[in-house]
Amino acid sequence: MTARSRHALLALTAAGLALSLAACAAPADDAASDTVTIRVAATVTPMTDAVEAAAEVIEEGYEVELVPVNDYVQPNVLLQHSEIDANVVQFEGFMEDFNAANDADLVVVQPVYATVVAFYSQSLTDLQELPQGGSIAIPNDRSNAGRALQLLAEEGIIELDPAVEPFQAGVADITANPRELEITQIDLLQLNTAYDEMDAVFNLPSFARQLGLTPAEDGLAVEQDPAFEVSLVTRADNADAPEIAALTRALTSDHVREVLEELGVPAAF
Amino acid sequence: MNDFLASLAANADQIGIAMAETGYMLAFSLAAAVIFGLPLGVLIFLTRPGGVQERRPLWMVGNLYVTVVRSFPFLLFVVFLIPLTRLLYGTTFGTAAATFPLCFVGVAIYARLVEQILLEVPSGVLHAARSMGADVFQTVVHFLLVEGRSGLVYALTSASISLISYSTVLGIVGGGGLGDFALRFGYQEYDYPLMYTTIAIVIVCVLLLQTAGEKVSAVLDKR
Repeated sequence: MTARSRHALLALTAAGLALSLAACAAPADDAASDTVTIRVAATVTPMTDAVEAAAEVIEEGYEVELVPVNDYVQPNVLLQHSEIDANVVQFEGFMEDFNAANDADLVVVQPVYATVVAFYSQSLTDLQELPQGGSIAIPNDRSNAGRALQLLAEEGIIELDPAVEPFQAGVADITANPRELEITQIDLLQLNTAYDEMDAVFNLPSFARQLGLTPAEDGLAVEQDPAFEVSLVTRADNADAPEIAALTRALTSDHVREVLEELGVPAAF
Repeated sequence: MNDFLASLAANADQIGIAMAETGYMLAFSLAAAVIFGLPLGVLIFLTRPGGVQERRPLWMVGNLYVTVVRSFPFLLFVVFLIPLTRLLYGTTFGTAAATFPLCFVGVAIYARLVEQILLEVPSGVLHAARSMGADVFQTVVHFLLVEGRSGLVYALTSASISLISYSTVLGIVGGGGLGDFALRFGYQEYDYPLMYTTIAIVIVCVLLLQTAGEKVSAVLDKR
C-alpha cells in the first residue's frame, strides 16, 4: 500500500468513526431540554399517520417520537422492556396473546381506529358465486386468518369447528368446505398481488385502499367488530403516567380524526 | 432439551413438509446455478478486459447482470419479478413460483464465485493450453475447469448455504420452507422452543452441506 492510499484509508476510517459517534451522541442532546419525549412504535399506515398527527398536536412540554418497526412482535417486545413508552399496532386480543405467551403486562389505553375488513374480488359480485374449486387468499398470521375464516363461516361458505373460540380458528379447524375451495395463506403485504389472480381475497382497508378499493363499495363480505379496533397500548405500570394521558388526548384530537377520515379510516373515539 | 424434543415430536409432520420445501427451492436454484451460473462465470472471466477472449460488450452485459441481481435487496427482487413469474407460472404464490427469483440469485452468486476462482488459476495453465494449441472451448473444459474444480465445488457449497438463507424470505409469497416455518409458527406465535428447534435443524443441514462440500472438494483437489 502506498503512503497516499494509506492516508486516504485512515481519513475514511476516521470519518466513519466520527459519523457513528455523532449518531450515538445525538439523542443525548434532547435530554438537556425539559421536554418529555414519548416514544411510540407503529408499523404501517394508518398507524404511523395517526402517531404523526398526534405528534403535531401534542401539548406543550411533550413531544412524540415515532419509532417505525417493520414487524408486529417487536413493538410489544420493545414496550415490555421499557425501550419505548407505547405502541399503536394492534387490537386487544393480539395484545392478550402476547401477554399470555410472554408473561407481559401490557394494557389497552385507548382505541384509535376501526379496521373494516372484507373480501374483494375482480370477477365476483357476491361470495355466493364462488365456483367449485375456486381460489381464496387469506393472511398467514393467526389473528387475521382467524378473522378471515370467521367471515367465510358467517357467509356459509365453510364451516368451522364449533369447539374453537370465534376468530381463533386456523385452516386446520375447517370442518366443511363443500365447494372444495383452495384456501392459500399468504403474507399481508402480498394480498394486493393475490387480488390479481385469485377468485376472492381477504384484505385490510389500508392495503385495499392502495388498489382503489373500499370496504363499503367493493367489499363482498364486510366485518367491523369493535374487538379489532387498533389501540394505544402501554405497560400497566406506565398506564397512569401524565405523558400517556397527554398522548391519549393528542391521539383522540380532532386533528387525528381528520387525518384518519382523509385516509378513509373510521376513528374509534 | 426436553422442550426441543417435545416441539420436534409435536410438529414432525409440518417440519418435514417445511424441509421438503426448502429442499425443493435449494435443488432447483442450485441446478440453475450450475447450468447457467457456471457458464456465465466462465464468460465473464474470458471476456473481461485483458482476458483470454476480450469482448467488452459481452463482459459488460454479464457483469452488469451479476452486479444488479446481487445489489437488489432480495425481497424487493422477488416483488420486482412478480409480473414475469406470473407470466411463466400463472401464479406468484407457492413453492414452485417462489423458486423462480431464487434461481436468478443462485446464477448471479455462483457466476461471481466462478469468476473469482478462475482468476486465481495460475497463468501457467493458460500458457500451457495456448502452447498446446487448445482453442477457447478446449482451454475452458480441459484446463480451466480441471484446474479450478476443487474450488468450484467449494464455491457451490458456499452458494447453496447462501441460497438457504435467501429462501427464508420467500415465505412472503407462500414459498414455505424451514425459515418461514420458524418465523410463522415460532416467532409470530411466541413458540420459542419450536423456533429454536427449527433453527437447530437448519444449522445441522448447513453443517452437513458444508462437510459434504469440503469432502468432495478435497477429493478433487489435485494439488
